[in-house]
Amino acid sequence: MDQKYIRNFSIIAHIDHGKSTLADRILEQTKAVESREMVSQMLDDMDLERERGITIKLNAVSVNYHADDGHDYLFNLIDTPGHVDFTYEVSRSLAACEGAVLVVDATQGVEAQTIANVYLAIDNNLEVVPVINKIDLPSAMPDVVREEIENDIGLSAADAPLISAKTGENVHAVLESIVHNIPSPEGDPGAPLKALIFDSYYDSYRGVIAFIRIKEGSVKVGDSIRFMANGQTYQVTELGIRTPKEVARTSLQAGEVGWLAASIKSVRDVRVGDTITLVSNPAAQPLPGYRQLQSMVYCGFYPTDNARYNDLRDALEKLQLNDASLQFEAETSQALGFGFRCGFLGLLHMDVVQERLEREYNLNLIATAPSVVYEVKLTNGETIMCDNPAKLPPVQNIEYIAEPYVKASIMAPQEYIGPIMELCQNKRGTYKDIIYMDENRVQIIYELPLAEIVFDFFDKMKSCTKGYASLDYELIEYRSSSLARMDILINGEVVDALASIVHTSFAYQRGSNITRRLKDIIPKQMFEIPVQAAVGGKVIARTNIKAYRKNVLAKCYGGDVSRKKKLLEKQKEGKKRMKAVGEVEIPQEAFMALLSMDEEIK
Amino acid sequence: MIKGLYVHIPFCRNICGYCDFAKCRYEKNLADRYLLHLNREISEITQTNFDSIYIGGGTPTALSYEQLEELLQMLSRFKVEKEYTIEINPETFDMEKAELIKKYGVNRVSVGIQSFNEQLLAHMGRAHHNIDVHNTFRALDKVGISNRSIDLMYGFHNQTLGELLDDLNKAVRMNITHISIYALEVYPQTPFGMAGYQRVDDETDFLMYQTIIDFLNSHSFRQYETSNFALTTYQSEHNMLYWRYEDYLGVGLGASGKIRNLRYDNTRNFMDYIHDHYRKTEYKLTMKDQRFEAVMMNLRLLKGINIKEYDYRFETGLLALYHDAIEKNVNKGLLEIVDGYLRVTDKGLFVLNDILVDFMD
Repeated sequence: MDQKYIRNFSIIAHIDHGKSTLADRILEQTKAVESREMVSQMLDDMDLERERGITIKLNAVSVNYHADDGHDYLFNLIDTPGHVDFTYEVSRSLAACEGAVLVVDATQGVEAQTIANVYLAIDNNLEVVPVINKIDLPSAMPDVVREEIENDIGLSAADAPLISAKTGENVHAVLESIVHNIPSPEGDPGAPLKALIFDSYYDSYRGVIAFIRIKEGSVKVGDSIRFMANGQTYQVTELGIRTPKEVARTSLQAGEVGWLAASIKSVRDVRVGDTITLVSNPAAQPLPGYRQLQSMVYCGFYPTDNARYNDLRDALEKLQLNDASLQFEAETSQALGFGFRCGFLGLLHMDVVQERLEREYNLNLIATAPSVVYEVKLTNGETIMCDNPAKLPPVQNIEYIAEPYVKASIMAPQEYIGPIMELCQNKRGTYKDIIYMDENRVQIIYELPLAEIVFDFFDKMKSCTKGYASLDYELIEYRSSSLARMDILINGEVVDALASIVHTSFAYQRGSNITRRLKDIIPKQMFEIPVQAAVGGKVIARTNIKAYRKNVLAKCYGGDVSRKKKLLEKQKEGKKRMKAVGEVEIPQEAFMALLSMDEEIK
Repeated sequence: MIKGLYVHIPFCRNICGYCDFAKCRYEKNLADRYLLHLNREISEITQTNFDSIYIGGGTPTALSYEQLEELLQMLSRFKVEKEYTIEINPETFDMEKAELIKKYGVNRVSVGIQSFNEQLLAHMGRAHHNIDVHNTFRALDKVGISNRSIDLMYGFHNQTLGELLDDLNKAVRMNITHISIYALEVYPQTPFGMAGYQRVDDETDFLMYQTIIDFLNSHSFRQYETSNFALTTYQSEHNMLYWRYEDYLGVGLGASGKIRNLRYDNTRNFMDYIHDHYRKTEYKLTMKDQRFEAVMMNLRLLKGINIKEYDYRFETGLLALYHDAIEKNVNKGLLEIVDGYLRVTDKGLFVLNDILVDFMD
């Protein structure tokens, strides 16, 4: 197809501003999907995504648009996830495009995430086309929002279409704007092949399917290809586009977006951001921007019912087929039995995996508090990496402990500089810079220990900025810190899964907070339970859970039998979600209580 | 023969914050229609004698004098061998109604007092005052109904042990034979539930229950069930049927019955009821259901389960059937076997739910 008639673009938006709804309307109005067969929000495949309103996996859809100028255009709509854990993947999707449609909610205006995404798009040299959505709502303020787009983002919004993705009103103008404002792709079809991988998924019949954007050259079925980052070679078995139904093609060439199958067994071989080239006529250089993803956060997953250990392993293996960034290996805990240490890109990634395991595989899990990877220098000169506080060697064998630091960049309206800096200071941050982006917005740069971000940083930042701040971070280096392991003892027994690594200057405060939190979370038993925090064998905080357990139905008469029996069944279910440690039953929340160690206790 | 009949009157003069029974605000016309259809449901009962009849609610005495008479009249086709109880709310009771129930053979009343603390009464959404209680008891004295139970409640937000002790003190000095005292339970579909009501804290709740047991037992009100206390032999005959897992009939909105292995639940929907669609569900209880439910109900009685009788009724061996659950809880000191009965210990009383959960596979 003539490149002149191709448009490759993404839709970027703040959560709930109507990205998925607009995508649906585009598919509908280009007749890619008949409206009657339309499941609301086609692009979000997984239930979980639909429920949380976030997009986790990417997708690309090609549709034909017959424009007002009489020509047919091929639109490749490339979807992007919307969370800091997935920034790298977003950037690769954007790199596959020439333009982006920016959706702004006419009732909400420009929000922090909008800006973060716009800058990501601009970094990737995309043409950004703003549209103002939800004008059907009575509270819509299109003029105010238009001004915000111009002042806060610096985009011309004079011609921004005013639309309602919900009713379909004026979506036609968006399609025309894409034709006129987003450039057509460039790239020499005769040059050596450079295809950018921006997504992949595992198909049990055909192996891994890679979503690619051809930047240079062309590829056809039967070609021998090489993945430039890891050197693996394969033979192309199928090529095609999604409309959204799969349509096979014999070749794809520069400017086009599609999928490629080559009997690839593992998603690990198909790294997002990698470049595919031909074995026979290879490109000299891969496309820029490839990054090897590494797990930033680790936690343990344990089945509450030990008998389901194998089910958990099977489920993790299945999830991993489609999620190259999920890592796991078997581990055991004295308190929790057999489970897996799992590595994630970030906390949201961890949450999503846990929810999928519980929902799609019907598992009841205990998740231990997330930890970063520490570098531990031993007195014997050896250096080990430790992703599990419980596995930290004895104090006397440790020369020093280093922890990962990140460069965090927080974008927010100016009025929140104070609260944000206060938060960063409290989280052991080192101030680096404030960049005044325009009269309203600032970018605050801090160096922070990743461990502090893994705790409740994100939630705290959101609450102290009313949700206006956005966070991006990248790993910079390991720095040695004054760190120690804090053990938690319940009823006199060390619960290994509750161990954490703390900065010694916070140890007392965190120790006393966590013991008080645990006192509230752990159900009372019929005997008194001491809850203690200890560092280096020395108890630094203690509370007691009193032996005042009462659990009995007040009323149970003839008319109550069925209802009260259901209540007992519920209690039985609740018990399943607890883990018996010695004689004490510990609910799931206890293991996550470590995360809110800094909370003020009322 | 089925020993007990329960009759439900769903009307109340006002709705209390915690109540999750089938009920609605009293309207004269509605009540007339209700009684008409209740009569139809009752006419289907072929049995003529019962050991006990229990008229509960709602508030049976929310009915007008004429309606109350109509109700008692329609029940007069049954001969009551032992205990004939009606629930009374003090603000809806007077001398005339006292004479009326006496005339129809009612020999036991259960008075919804809940508390003697006027502030707490207002907090619960109760409509009566202490003077109404006083008048109710005068009327009962006058007609000579002396077998009286009262209902009390505890566990309200910010309620103190001292306030509870005040209530208990006043209760034991009344001319009564029986006390039911319930911990407040907050259910989602009640005004309290919807408002996210916070009960008293766990520690106080525990201490309150302990105080109640100690106080009432030492004042001759012997605890015989989780929430029930009686002088000498005045345990509620009718309620004992439930706890012994015997058969009973229930008529009226939201009532339930059990006839051997059949349980039925009446509709809680008023419109359905007055269109004679009163039966909502009927189902067969499996032997396993019955064996568990019998334990669930019978362990509420301090006397416990008569093991021999249980084995005979359910064609099993209780101790073998629930061997693990029983052994575990006996070892924890929560259950004990005494004189052929399996029963909760003083400690077990507080955690009956925990014990029962162990009996569910």
